[in-house]
Amino acid sequence: MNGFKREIIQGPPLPAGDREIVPEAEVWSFQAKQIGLKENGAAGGGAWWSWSRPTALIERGPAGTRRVRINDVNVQFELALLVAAIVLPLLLTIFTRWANRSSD
Amino acid sequence: MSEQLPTSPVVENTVNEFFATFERAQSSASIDNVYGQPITYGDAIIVPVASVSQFFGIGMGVGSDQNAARPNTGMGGGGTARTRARPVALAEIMPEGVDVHPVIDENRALTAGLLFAAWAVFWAARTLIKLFK
Repeated sequence: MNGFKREIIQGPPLPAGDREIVPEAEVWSFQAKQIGLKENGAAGGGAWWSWSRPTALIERGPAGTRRVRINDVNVQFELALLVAAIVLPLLLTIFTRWANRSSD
Repeated sequence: MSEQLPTSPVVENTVNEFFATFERAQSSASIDNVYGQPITYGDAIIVPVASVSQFFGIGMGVGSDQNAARPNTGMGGGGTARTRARPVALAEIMPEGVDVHPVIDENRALTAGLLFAAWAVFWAARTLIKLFK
């Protein structure tokens, strides 16, 4: 089916003593394909993309279930810089206007 | 509709293979790509964790003329594919609990930092010029 799809997948549990660790990941995928059929031929094309990222390790034991999140610090740092890169010009523009009005 | 379906086995096989390629791609996005093989190190189990992106694009055409004086079949196609894996963390599973150690990509962080610094210098200079002209 064409379009975007998001799913959370879990792997087989890893035994660790009296506990078990279940790895969990998020998968984003997109596909677009089209094919034209005729009686004596066919032509078509398509593209598929997927991005899989880890989300958490789920620790199940006698004490209960604990979810250990896995953060991608590189992506977090880049997002923080991106937000700063958007906010900085806005702040400087506001500051410039305020300073110009104050000096008038 | 049925009269529009391909009658040639070559065309039919090619169309089936076209759809099978996408099904194989869908099933290739498994959790095994994200979590590597566990490594036992003393009491601990180390699991490498990665972020994986995959892409492919294909195009194809097939034609068959069985009614010609000399029946013939022709086909062609092309495609491209890319897979990229980036380390995210190392998960350490110990008897006391699970610990996640992030992997910092210094080159990527430096590149992003330099780009941001250039952007900040540009805006700071622009602001100063507007203030003092």
